[in-house]
Amino acid sequence: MSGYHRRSYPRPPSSSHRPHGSAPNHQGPPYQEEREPSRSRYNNDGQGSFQETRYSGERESIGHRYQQPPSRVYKDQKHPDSGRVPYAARSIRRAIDEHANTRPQPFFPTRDSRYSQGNSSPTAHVPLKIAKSVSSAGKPVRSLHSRPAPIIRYSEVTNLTAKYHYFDPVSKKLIHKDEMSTWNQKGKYPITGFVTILDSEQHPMIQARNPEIKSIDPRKLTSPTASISHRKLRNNLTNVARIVYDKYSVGPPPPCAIIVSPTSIINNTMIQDISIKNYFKKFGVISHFESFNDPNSALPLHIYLIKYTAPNGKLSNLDIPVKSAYQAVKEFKEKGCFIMGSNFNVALNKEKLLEDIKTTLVEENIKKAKQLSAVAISTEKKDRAPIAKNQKITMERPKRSIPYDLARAVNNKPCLFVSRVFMALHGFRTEDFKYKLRRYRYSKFLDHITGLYIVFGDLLECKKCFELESGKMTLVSRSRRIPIEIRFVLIPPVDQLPTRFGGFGKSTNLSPSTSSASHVKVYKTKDELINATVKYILKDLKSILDTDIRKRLIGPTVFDTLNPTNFPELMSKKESKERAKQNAIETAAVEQKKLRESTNQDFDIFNLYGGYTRKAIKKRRTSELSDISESISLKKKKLARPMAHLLNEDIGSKENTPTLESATPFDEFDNDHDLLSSTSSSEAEDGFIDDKQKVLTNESPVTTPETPQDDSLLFSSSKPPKVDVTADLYKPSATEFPETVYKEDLSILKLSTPLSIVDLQNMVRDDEDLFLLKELVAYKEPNTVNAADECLEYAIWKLREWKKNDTLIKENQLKLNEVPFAPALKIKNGPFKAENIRKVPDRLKNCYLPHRRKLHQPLNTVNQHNTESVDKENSPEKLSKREDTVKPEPSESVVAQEISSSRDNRASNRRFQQNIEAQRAAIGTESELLSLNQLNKRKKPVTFARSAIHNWGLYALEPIAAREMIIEYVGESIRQPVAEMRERRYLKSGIGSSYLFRVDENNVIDATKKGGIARFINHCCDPSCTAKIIKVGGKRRIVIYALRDIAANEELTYDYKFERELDAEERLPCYCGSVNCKGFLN
Amino acid sequence: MSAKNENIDRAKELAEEFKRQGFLDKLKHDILSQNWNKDESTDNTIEAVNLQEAIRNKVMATVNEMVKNDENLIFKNRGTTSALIEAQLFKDKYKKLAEGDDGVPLDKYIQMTLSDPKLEEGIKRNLATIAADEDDL
Repeated sequence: MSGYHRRSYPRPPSSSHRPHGSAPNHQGPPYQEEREPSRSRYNNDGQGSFQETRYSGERESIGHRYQQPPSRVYKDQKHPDSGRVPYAARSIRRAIDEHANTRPQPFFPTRDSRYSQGNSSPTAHVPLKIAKSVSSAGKPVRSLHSRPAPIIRYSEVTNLTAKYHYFDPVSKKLIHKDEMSTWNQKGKYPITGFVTILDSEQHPMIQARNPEIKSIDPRKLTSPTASISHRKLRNNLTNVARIVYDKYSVGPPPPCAIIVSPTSIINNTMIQDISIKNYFKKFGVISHFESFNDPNSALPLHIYLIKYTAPNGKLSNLDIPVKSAYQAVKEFKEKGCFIMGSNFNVALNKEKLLEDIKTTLVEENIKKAKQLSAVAISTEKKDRAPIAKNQKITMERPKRSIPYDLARAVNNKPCLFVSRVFMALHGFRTEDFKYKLRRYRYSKFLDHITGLYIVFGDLLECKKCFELESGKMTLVSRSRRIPIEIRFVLIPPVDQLPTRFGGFGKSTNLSPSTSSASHVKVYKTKDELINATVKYILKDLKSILDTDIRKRLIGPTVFDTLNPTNFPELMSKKESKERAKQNAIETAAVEQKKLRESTNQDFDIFNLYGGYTRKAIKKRRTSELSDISESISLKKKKLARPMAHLLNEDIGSKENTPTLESATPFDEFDNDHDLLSSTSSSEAEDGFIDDKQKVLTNESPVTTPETPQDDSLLFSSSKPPKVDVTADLYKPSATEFPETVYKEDLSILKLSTPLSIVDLQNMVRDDEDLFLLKELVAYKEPNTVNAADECLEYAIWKLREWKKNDTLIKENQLKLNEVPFAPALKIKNGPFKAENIRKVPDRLKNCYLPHRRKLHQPLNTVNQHNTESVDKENSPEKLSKREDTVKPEPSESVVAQEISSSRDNRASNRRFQQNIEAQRAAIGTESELLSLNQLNKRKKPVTFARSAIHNWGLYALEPIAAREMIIEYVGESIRQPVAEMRERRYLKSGIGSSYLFRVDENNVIDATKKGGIARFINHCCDPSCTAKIIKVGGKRRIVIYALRDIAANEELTYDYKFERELDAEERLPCYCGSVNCKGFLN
Repeated sequence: MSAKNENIDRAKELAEEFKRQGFLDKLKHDILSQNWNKDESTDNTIEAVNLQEAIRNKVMATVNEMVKNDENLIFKNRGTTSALIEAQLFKDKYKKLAEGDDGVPLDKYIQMTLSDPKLEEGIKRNLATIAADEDDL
């Protein structure tokens, strides 16, 4: 009966037939045709007209009936085994459907024919009845069913009628079974239907069903061909895979810390925290490392808490520390953790695990300590007598002990020993043993001169190794080429007391002194004690005495005695020797200098610049020496000081000149020339003149020696040819009023400037003048020449000398800098070093810095130091010529370049450019390699040097014609906001100069960090160049062009054209120095 | 005190206490300031020179001698030179100082002084008082 239920298997006809719409299907087109109009009818007609139209024709009723797929009904219903549903019914149905879809034609008719032979099932009549009732009386049907009753459609199509295998709708009668033809005429399909089975490759396939075989649950079917699983057999439960901890995780965070604890109590005090830490560093970044000590003994428990964290950049990743801890634990879970000869447990720090471990260990320690102390007490009692015996016994055996120098390294741990002799004999190496014993947990190999010590952290392990390997392990002897059995000597830890509980420190086993100390301490009587003490004290006293004598008595005494002042005669001897040596050196140096002077007497610019160099001092000194040696020799007798010192004082300040009488005039002179004779205090003047006159009164004999020096002075009577001249001069003139022999120069007598001695001397032209002067001041010849006179003479000479030097310096200054030296820069008194640091204003710098000269003429700072003299008329041709001579190679090339006209040049450049472009196109890549800077070719030879305007400037190396391109302003091309940002940043970082050049509104070229030398071009209000923005290859570039003809070595300038700044403080002063300078850049 | 540490030698402890109370320094001072010439069997001393000064004088004399032999000594680095000389003087139980007419046989003297029963007695007396004090405590 279930077959009937399946009847309602919903499948709209459209879905089953639509795929065949295009096929030459008899059902398709009529169905389609009919449906359309019927639908329109429903839509258009009202309720009343419904019935009439509805049943107006058979065709239509059939069409409606078709809504219920009858074929389905029969298909399942008529199955012979319809009562039993095969488990693969669905698949069969699907298979049949497929058949129906692909080959509908042969299927339906045959089926029809088969079932047309009487199916007397009562249900078969139901549709018929309904149909009849519908046809006879339509209305009640409508009330029964919400949809129209089934009506036969396509009744006239004979092929189709065959479908209704038990009911002939045309004749409207049921068909007998015998009249029906079988659907399986050819026996193509099994009568019993299909079942789905799995073929050998486990694919489902359809097979004819054998009703005798009962269906089986395929799941229970364990076919022998089923694939064998390759999974491991698990005989115990395994942990769930680690769950990644993240922000979505619920519950408390998993532990990210591990506890490293020793498996058994470790006696190894060598294990350091850092080694443990390093060991666990490989799993992740350690954020916290803690080691715990025994609270009772303060010895390390070797329990470590290691907390992991995420590396700096990945702090948001919560899983990293957890994973590190997990991995650390996992790594050592199986094989255990073995660090520096000790075993450790590694566990995740869960809940109270740390505390538990700690308490258990501490308790264990306490227990052990108690045991040990008990043992120690018991042994101590029966110590003395038996110990000697024991030792004797042990000594008889060739017992190995650890050599003293290894004791610390071995640290009282068990070890195996192989003698050095044995090893050397067979040529064994440490590595051989290392390899052979690799499976044992040794902590280290110590290679000693006595042999090889294999240290173990654990006595058990050591014993195990000894038992298993000693006498059994073989190594191939390198000398004999045969395997040799190795015998180890087991050296147990000498002192069985573990150091950590013994409390005696590391050297319990080593020093007999301490052990003896523990015995000696008992003294029977007080006398004994005191005697021992006295011994100690006497020993100490001796040592103390020794150190005291040495450190306090001998040492300082020796040191004091060695003081050179204790040996004056030795010192003086040495000093004199040294002095002699120095003198020799000095004289040699002076002679050398003289030699050098004579060889180069030409104008030395550096010397000028340097001013007061050592050379200059020496020179002067020597000249003075020759000049005034006589006068000085007089002094030398009086003063027990070296001449050099005296001279030094003379040159410098003269406060304590030893002369007495002439002290006042002397000082006056000094002051005078210190003030550069420009002092104009009238108050001082009177006294000054008086002094002068006083001086002059004493002077007459003094001036005479001066005369030969000064050729201009004519009162030297010693020269015969000049006498003739004077004779001419003195000839009487035939004028009405007597005329002076020399023209009167009254300018000297102006009171505005004080009269200097030199002026006075100049006024005295001849003997007559001198005579008159003497008369005027009522001068008397002194009888004796005293020291004061000598000094005066020297002072006057010095004054003259100074004057001469001064004028020379001034001349040179003018020659070099064209500006007199600014008086403000001169130091008033004393050396310049004594002056405070001060800022020299920019406008004064030009008087000592040549490159600071004003710009009225083209500058020539480029080759400043190469030129012999500074020539002012540096016309372009001249300069270029000179350059040719100076450095021929570069200028030649430049000249060659210049010979061909720039127009030709450019043309050839263009051709070259085109050539390159063509090649680039051929290559087809946009490589920067071949991109050519057209502007580079047209560049003029320029260079940068210190500028008169500001810091650095750009200079033409050769003459440049007007309107020629000079150089491109190269730099990084940046956008406006970037430029603003950079400007701020540069200002912040102290880059005061701005090298930003605006191209247009949005683009700026920044040559601050990367750029060409064009950035050095200074601003000038009367510029020689101009900057133009031109387009090259679609890009805007800044190019500097010459505005006028520019001479070689002239500084290139252009107008910066800064925007006018309203804020006075923001304005930048202009130092261009041109005639029409605006004073400010902005 | 003894209860505090059994492992340390009682005698040493006592010696330490002796030092701590300044007896050792005093002894040292006494020895060093002993009259030198008197001990040297020349009872008729012109001037009393104690041991320290005697040593100093001798050292000075020796150093002067050395300098006389080699003038360069005073021009060299004073610190280093004096250290070297000092070591030389100290060497072989003050052998250098014992040389010469006015030599100071320091080693012999120290030995003699230390083996002096008087000294020992003094020490013992002091020790007895210290021990008594301790026992009182």
